Parts: sequence; C-alpha cells; structure tokens
Amino acid sequence: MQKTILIALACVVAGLVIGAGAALVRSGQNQLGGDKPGAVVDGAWKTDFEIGSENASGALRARIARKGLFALKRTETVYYTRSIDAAGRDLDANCSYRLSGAGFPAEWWSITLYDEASYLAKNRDGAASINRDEVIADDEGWTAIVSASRPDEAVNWISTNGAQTFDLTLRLYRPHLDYLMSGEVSGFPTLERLSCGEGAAS
Amino acid sequence: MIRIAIFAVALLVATFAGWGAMNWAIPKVIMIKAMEGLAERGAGVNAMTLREPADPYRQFVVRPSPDLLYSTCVYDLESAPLRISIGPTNGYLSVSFFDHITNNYETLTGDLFTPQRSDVILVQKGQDAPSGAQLVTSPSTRGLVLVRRQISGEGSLPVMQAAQVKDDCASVTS
Repeated sequence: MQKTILIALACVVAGLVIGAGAALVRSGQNQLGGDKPGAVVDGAWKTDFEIGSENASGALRARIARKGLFALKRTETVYYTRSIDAAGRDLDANCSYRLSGAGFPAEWWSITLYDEASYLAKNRDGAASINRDEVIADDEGWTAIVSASRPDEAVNWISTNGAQTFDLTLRLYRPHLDYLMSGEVSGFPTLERLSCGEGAAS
Repeated sequence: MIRIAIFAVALLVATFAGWGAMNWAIPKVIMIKAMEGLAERGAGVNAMTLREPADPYRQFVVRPSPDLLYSTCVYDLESAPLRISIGPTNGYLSVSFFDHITNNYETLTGDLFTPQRSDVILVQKGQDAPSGAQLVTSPSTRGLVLVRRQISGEGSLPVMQAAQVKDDCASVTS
C-alpha cells in the first residue's frame, strides 16, 4: 500500500514538472496563429486576435507576457508575425531577403525586425523598421531589402545586423477588423530569399 | 491494472495542473517584475516616465517599436485615485491601461484629448472619484498606463516630444 502511494505521489510530481515545463517552453515560442479566420494570412503572417484581451487563454497570456508584453487589444492594434520566407524556411540573418508589399487594411502600419530574444537587433544602422509614412513606394507598392549590408541603391532597408535568427512583426494600427477577421485577406508582404553567406547579395 | 490506471490518471491530472499553474503564474510574475523595473529605472510609482525613442541600445520592454514614443506610469491605487494628464497631439496617440496580469482593459484614443480636456482619473472599484475628468476603472490595484505616440515622418519627433512633456500622472490628494 505504501509503495502504491509513493508511486502515485511520484506520478503527481512528474506530472506537475512535465506540465509546468511544457508551459514554460511553449510560452517562450514566438509563433502565433489562432484558429480564427484571418489569424494566418498567406500562410506566413500569423496573429491571435485574443492578444491583450480578457478572453485570452492562459497559454496565450503567458506567451504574450514573455514575447509581447503590453500588446494592445485588436480594436487598437493587430500584430502579425512572420518567421519564415516564401519557401517556408526559417529566417536567417546570414541571408538577404526581398520584402514586397503594398497597403494594409489599417490607418497606419509598421514592420519591425526582432532578434531571437524578441528585442531590436543590436546594431547602429538605424534601420530596424519601415512604416507607412517613411517607406519609399510607387503605384505598385513597395520593396524593402532585409539584409546585413546596406543596399547600394536608394531602397527601403531593414537591417539584420546583430541578429542570428529573426522575425518580422507587422503592426496594424486602428485596423479594419471586420475585413481582417473575415478570412478573405491576402496580399500581405511576400518575403523572397535572395542569397546566403558572407557578403550575401543585397 | 487498477493501480496502473490510478497512476496514469494522477500523472494526467497533475500535468494539466502544472500546465495551468505555470500559465497562470508567468504573466503575474513578469508583470510584477516589469512594473518594478519600470518604476526603478523611471520616475517611480504614480509618476510619469517620459521615455526616449526605443533603439537597439534603449529597450525598456520586449518588442518595443522604434516608430513610437512612449511614456509610462506604473500605478498603485491603494491609497488614492490617480490623475493622468496627456499632452494632446495631432498624430497617432493612444493611452492604454494594463492590469496586474497584462490585460489591456482600456485604451483611449488621441481624439479624446484636447488642450481643454486632457485629464483622466483612474480609480479602482469602489473608490470615490473626483469629478470633472474622464473616468477609467482599473480591475486591479496595481498596473501600468502606457502612452504611445507615432514618431514616423520628418520632423515628427520634436513635435511629439513637445506634447510628451505635458504627460503626467499623480495621486489625487483631497
């Protein structure tokens, strides 16, 4: 009998450790992507519309606390994050990419690069983000180079210096929520890998 | 056989309990540490900290936006409500309120703040509120007010900083 109780206690302790450990690991992952329509756009840009909400699950709340503390509710801002290129490969700071997009269903937007620790990559390039007001665009839309070296030509640039892996966060301020949550949204920026390695083309 | 079933159920229930407990604890612990850090490295509790634009060497929180100018006020409503003053601006402005477990329970937009009407009174439930200002009720005694201003576009930073210096928060003394 005593042995049975001891084994049961060991199971309880093991279960608590496994559950707590799994929650700790899960909350440290950047990847979002709820199951609501519009939570994943073009297979790569992912959000969870419950961010900042009292209705957020415990797991989402823990993840946001670690990876996006003080995020706003969806009525004010929707945050989409992308961590793969057009071919589905993880983003790598040793590579250069072409990010191409146009407008968004929101009053204002920005796209910012964060390193593997969810901070702005440590560099003095002054090129951590692009936004609606400052992006160089034409009637077709805009293109930005995501790379470690500053492009020669006058194009938009997001620097990967100081990062190893990274992701891009798209902030949509005062978003058109009905449209975003309809599940019919597409045409978010594409991200094409150009080259990799020392002196990756930019 | 029954004993194995008991062990399996104990393991399963404990796993769910551990998962739930950790997910419950993480936001609370992180928010407590974040508020302590923001108060220590800023103007303290119930006082507004006017932050410089975020850059790679000046990040007060994970995933700051370099396109926003932030002001922060860590609050404690234990002894009195808080009066929050916001410097009006023409560009993007939001004033967001977070409780002690990271819920964004209220966000006020820039059009609510004018030179004639720029104050908000923050109270907790059951607390008497002075009249004459917009009222926000906090679900928790402690929390954070975060002011965001858009600083993209040429010349916007000095304009926004001129508005930011008018941001303030302080306990309401009768």
